[in-house]
Amino acid sequence: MKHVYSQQRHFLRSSNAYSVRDFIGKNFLTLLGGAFILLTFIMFLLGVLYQYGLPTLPYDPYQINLDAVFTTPGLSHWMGTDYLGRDILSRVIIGTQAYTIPGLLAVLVAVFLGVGMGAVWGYYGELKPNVPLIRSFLPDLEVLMNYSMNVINSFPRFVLIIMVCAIFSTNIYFIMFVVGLTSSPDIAEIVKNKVLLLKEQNFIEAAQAIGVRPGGIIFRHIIWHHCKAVIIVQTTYLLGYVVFIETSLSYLGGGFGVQEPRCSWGNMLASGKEYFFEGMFWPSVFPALMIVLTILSFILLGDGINKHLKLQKERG
Amino acid sequence: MAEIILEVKELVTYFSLPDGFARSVNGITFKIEKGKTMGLVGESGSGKTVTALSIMGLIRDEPGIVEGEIIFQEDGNKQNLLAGLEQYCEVERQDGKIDLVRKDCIKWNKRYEKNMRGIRGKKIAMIFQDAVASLNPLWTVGTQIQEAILLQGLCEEKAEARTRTLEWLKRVHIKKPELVHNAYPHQLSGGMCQRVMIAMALASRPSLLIADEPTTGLDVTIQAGIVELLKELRSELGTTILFISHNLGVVAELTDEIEVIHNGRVLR
Repeated sequence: MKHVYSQQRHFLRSSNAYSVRDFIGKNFLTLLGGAFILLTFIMFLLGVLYQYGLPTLPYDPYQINLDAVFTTPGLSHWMGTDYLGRDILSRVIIGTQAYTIPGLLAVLVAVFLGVGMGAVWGYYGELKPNVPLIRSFLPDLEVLMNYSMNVINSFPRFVLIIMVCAIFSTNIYFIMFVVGLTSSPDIAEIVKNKVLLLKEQNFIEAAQAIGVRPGGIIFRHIIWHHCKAVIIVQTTYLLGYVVFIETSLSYLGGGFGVQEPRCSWGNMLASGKEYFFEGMFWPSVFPALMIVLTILSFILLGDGINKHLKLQKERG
Repeated sequence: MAEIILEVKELVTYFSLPDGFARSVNGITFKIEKGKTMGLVGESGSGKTVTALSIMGLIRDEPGIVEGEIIFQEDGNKQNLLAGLEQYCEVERQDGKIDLVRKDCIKWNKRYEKNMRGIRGKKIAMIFQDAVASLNPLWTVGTQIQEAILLQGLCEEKAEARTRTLEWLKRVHIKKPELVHNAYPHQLSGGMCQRVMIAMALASRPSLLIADEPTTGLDVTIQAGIVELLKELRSELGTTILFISHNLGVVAELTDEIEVIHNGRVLR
């Protein structure tokens, strides 16, 4: 009997739990993305510490040094200096401050609004909104929600964001609130489909039979356990999108986004691009590389989590 | 005469079709005495399950319950679960048949939920046909029984709920309750899932248990086990059981009286 047991264990180990090397081989791109995001997060922390007066950056990012204009990348300045002699590495590190906290706000808004709307849309979709007087003219809640989501989705988002900011405010937090608002239909749609699929299942009926209230059914039985994974994947993609929006707005200038002398990867790229064809590539290429790699990492990470979840589902 | 725990009078539950109604339950009347076990038998599609769901108030499609009375009585308190709902549902008849139903479903449901508060799950519990599908696939079995216990306010602390859950798992004859407590439904067999469902339904000490074909989909020996278990728990707890099945052998084994349903009516 003991012999059989050990054989079984061997079998289990060879099929299910694989070695670290296998794990890295199968998830190489995901891990690469994750590592890069960890790096940007460390850069963000370094920036925060610098603002509290700790010497975490090689140079002062705002210090103008006209003796060292356009220093080539080398040992003294790893990424060189820009047209005012400011150290680019320090500015790249401090540039993460521009999107991190506002970006998290955007994601929070998108997730909360998306989940709330999706839950109502899916669970109460058959009902009619009970507004006095015009009740008989109103369609189902599902139709109403569909139309309003289509209206939000039908605008090109970037144009919508620029328009709203031009009319109301160019505060970065306001911009990110709008980004969250316009991204919420994506999450709402996913949550809605999950709720629609699950609310007809037997176990929801059984939960009702033991006396669980509708709120408990929606949030504990359906969303918390069945939608958590998809929401995490969507959040990852959305974080990449937030970096894209913030850097684009800062690049465009014109009052949107971060203004000189405060720095973001977007406005560093904008101010460096003039010198690119004069042979001085480093003021523009390094911020651009950071933007591309960060967005790519978020997408790789999201894809990796998605793939992992699908595999988990297939295994049962 | 013994006390009557549930009395269903002229219950009518319809579903709307493109042309008219599906008259699933068309005036069913029956009574259950306290402590007895009543069998509800009939062919497929005769309205057994819809009757059970109507009593539990789990009908979601429109128009659902149209009229009738469901009187639930416990310790001398008579309560009509459909009281005060006539005002939201108007019926037009032609030749004695219901022809048109005008029902304000939102207001009806609101009022109905008020009536059912404290009864569904607490006084009347239900076990379902397909036990594996009736358990949330992403929750451990233990959590689900704990939820039932915590919801009914039988105890406050989680640790106490956990010990009670283990107790209940032992009570429905599950070997190794510690192991099953942390298992997911797909790791258990159909019979074990049905036992877990029974534990979940009875954990709140209901006075009426509605068992909707609990033995369907199980093989004969496991069916016998479930029937034995229901008998044992019935004598221990004194629960009244409404047992719905089309398996006459099982019904004969377990029940005191039988009502036969055909085409949404009780045959007498």
